[in-house]
Amino acid sequence: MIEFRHATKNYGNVVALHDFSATIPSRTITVLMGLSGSGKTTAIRMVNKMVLPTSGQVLIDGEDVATRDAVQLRRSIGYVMQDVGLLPHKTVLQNVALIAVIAGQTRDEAERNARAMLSLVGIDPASFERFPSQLSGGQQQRVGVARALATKPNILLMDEPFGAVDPIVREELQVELCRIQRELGLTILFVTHDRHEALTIADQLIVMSNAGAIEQSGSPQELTAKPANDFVRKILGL
Amino acid sequence: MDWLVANWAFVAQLTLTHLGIVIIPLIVGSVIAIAGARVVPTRWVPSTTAALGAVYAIPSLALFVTLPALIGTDFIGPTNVVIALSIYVVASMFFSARDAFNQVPTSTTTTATALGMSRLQLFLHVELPMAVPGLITGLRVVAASTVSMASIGAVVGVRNLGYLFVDGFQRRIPEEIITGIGAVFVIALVFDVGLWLVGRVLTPWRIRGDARV
Amino acid sequence: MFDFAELAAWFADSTNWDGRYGLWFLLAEHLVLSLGAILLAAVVALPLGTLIGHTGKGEFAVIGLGSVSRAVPTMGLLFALVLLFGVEQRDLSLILALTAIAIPPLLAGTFSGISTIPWSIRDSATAQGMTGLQRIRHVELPLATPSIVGGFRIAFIHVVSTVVLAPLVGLGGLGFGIVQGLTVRNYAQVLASSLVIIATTVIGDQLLGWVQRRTGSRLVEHQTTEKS
Repeated sequence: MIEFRHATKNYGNVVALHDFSATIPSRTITVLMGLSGSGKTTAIRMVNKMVLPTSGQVLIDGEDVATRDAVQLRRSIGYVMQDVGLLPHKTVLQNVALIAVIAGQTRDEAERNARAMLSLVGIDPASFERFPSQLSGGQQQRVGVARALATKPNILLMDEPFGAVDPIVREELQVELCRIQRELGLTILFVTHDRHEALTIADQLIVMSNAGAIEQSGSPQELTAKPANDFVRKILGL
Repeated sequence: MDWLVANWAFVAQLTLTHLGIVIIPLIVGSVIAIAGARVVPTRWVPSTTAALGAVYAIPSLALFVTLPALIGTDFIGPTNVVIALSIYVVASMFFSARDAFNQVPTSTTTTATALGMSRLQLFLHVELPMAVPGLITGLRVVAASTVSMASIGAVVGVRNLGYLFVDGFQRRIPEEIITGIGAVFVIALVFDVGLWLVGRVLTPWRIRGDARV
Repeated sequence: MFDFAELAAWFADSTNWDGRYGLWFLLAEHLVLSLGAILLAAVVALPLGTLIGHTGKGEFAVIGLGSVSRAVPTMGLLFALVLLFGVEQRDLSLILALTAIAIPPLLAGTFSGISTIPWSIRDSATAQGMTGLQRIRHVELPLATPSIVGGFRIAFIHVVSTVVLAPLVGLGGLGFGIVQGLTVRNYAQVLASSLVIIATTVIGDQLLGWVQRRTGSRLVEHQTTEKS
């Protein structure tokens, strides 16, 4: 379980996130939805200490992340972002296996696990020795997810991962993601500004406006049936 | 700085010669390079680039003394040096000019052509002005290198600021050498700042951006 | 016009190749001096450039150093150092001057190679749980290699050119034939020496260019495509 307690982030005079409090239940997909400037990226990056809160806390299973070593924490959490950031000079397989090897696994073990993850996300073994630039955008994203899963995390952080992919592939990836989440029992925190995506995959949906103000939080059914205000209505296209 | 004060007129004279040796190659070389970068057909570009790259690698003193054998100039004297420096300017500016022109967005040139501009009008009114920032950057680099490289001409008898090095060394006068270094450095700086100002004047639409690569 | 028969005869004369001031020795001397200075400079410039590129701090110093170094006349620098440290220490002065000349391009190549790595790649490497050193080793240095080799290429050109001037302060290197030849008006010697110098520089530059292309071709360009 992930918990935000009055998490705040200021960059000088700019308030990126203000007094954000929310609970992310385990083994579910929680979607943070909002427009640019709503602080959703800031919030998600606090979970793996890529952003340190100015005040407030983020807790994972009751433990404040501030007390945990950043490097070890990140290795235990999967992170996927829109630009993927695959290493262009390493093959698909090497990309997925690398962090496991760095963390101390043997090369064989890491590669075996990498192959398993790549198959799980639907990458054909023929592509394992290819380089990222030889793959399509959708395939690169799948590899990104495989890489995030390579260290067998319980938590997966996803920041607009499917934003650069065309709509048909995007829907496929959304369905695959739900399947993978169920199979592995993952806790997924997912950021998007796409309403269709949010409504499709979320178990819990948190709609955010300026700097982390929560307009409404609940299941997609609850939000569509009883939108709390005009903002929620507009953003969900109701 | 007593040496400088005492020999002020001499240094000024050498400076003038130095400027003369440097300005001709810069102007002639740049014009050739910019025109060439625009005009050379794409299929010839790789071999041109390779050839110019090879030439650029040649040490200046070696080029100063090889040109006479190739084109019949005197071993000693400014002609060699001016031609050699021009060649270096062409080599260096060709790369910069190609980069600068490549950075002009094709959407802009396509639109201009669609609006009915001729090739020459396109070049003068669109490509050249938009390439100015890149060209100026390239020119600043090449100007600094040329100003300092020109001093080596003193070894083949050119009476420019490099002479202060040769003479100062032979007569064991460190101040003379230091004066020479300072003078060359100042001239290079003047060119650098001057070109930067020219760039600002020619491109009033540009917002000052990051110096990052 | 120049007498090329005279030139051929000069090359054919074995006394011009043997001994302390023969071409073989001078060539070896020239290369040892150049490569030695470049290596020394690399020891300073590569770690420094990596640090500045990795942390992002001190960028202005790299750019400033680059601009300044281009404007400093190498011959003046060499002569000044020799007078400063005394003629007995001129080997030291030469090495010092050469190292100073080699540092800026190596620094610039390393820094630029690392700083132009897309932010998303560096960010995702951190988010994966790589330490700074691991990022440098697995991500930044491998991707910066072509640019670093490019820096070596430029350093090579500048350093070799400066060693050509070494005979002017009484040291060796291939420039000897040019300097002595000009003094005694033996233009065959001048031209022959300069041709050897030209061949050495061009071959070295082309070789490094080949290395640069090879290290670049293993790194496939980072692209995101939108088709499925």
